[in-house]
Amino acid sequence: MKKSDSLQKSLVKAVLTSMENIAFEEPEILSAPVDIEGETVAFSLQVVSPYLLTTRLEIPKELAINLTRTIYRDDEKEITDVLVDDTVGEFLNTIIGTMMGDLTLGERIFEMGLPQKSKEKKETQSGDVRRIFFRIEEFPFFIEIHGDAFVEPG
Amino acid sequence: MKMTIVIADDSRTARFLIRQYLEMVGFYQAEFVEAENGRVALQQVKDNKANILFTDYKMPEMDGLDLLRRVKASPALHDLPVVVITSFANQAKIDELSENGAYAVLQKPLSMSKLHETMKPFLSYEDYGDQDIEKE
Repeated sequence: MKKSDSLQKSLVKAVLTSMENIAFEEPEILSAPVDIEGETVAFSLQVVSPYLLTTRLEIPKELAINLTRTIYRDDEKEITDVLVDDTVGEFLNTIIGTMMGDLTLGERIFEMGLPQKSKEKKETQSGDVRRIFFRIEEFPFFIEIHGDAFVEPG
Repeated sequence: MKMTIVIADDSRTARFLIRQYLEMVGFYQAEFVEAENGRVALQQVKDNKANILFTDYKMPEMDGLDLLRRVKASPALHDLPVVVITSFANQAKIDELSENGAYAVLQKPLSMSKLHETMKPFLSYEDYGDQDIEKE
């Protein structure tokens, strides 16, 4: 299996596991890109070792609010933007950590940064970026990865 | 006597989830103290005479490994059980944390059955009861 294929497989598995365990949701994997309408929340996170990867999670704000509300239930009366951002950042952190744990199991220590709030760029996708789309209820969202280790020539 | 558990994670949502999971596995009477980084957690552990410390691995200012090392280097805190919760939990990382004195290393997203198994020695029927945790 090509490295990019195993990365993608681990990433999909990590998204499904993380969403189910944290927010009790089972995302559907979409086979083709879809347009994401309305305001979104986006976070990026860098993996620096053993591969150099940049990852981004971009999610409709309405879905991010719903997921945050599911997690906090009645414990938090007001779902603020800060809380929503914190939740989306934690999702990305958990997803990428789970993916890297899966990929490097027993081999070596990997290093990654902290999640950083990122600007929306849902409309663009350059050639060296792999973007995988999912859907929860009626809301599509995506996670993308780019880096030398992920995109192979040819 | 109430158990005091310090939870260190830079994400408020992660701290909330850890607390929720601990309550669900039986620590619903425990007192929880939260810290957003290792430096604050170290102070909270001292100030609150904590019984257990839960810490994330990757945090700003002082990370989980640094916090663990400082706890284990302190004669007053050396025996404090430290559970590291991390999304970095491959075997090499688990080994490194264990060598530095971690009581347990748990992977994010938390597994309820693994958390229950890890925390069972700290549960007493008198104080906390015991709950059936569905095996995953």
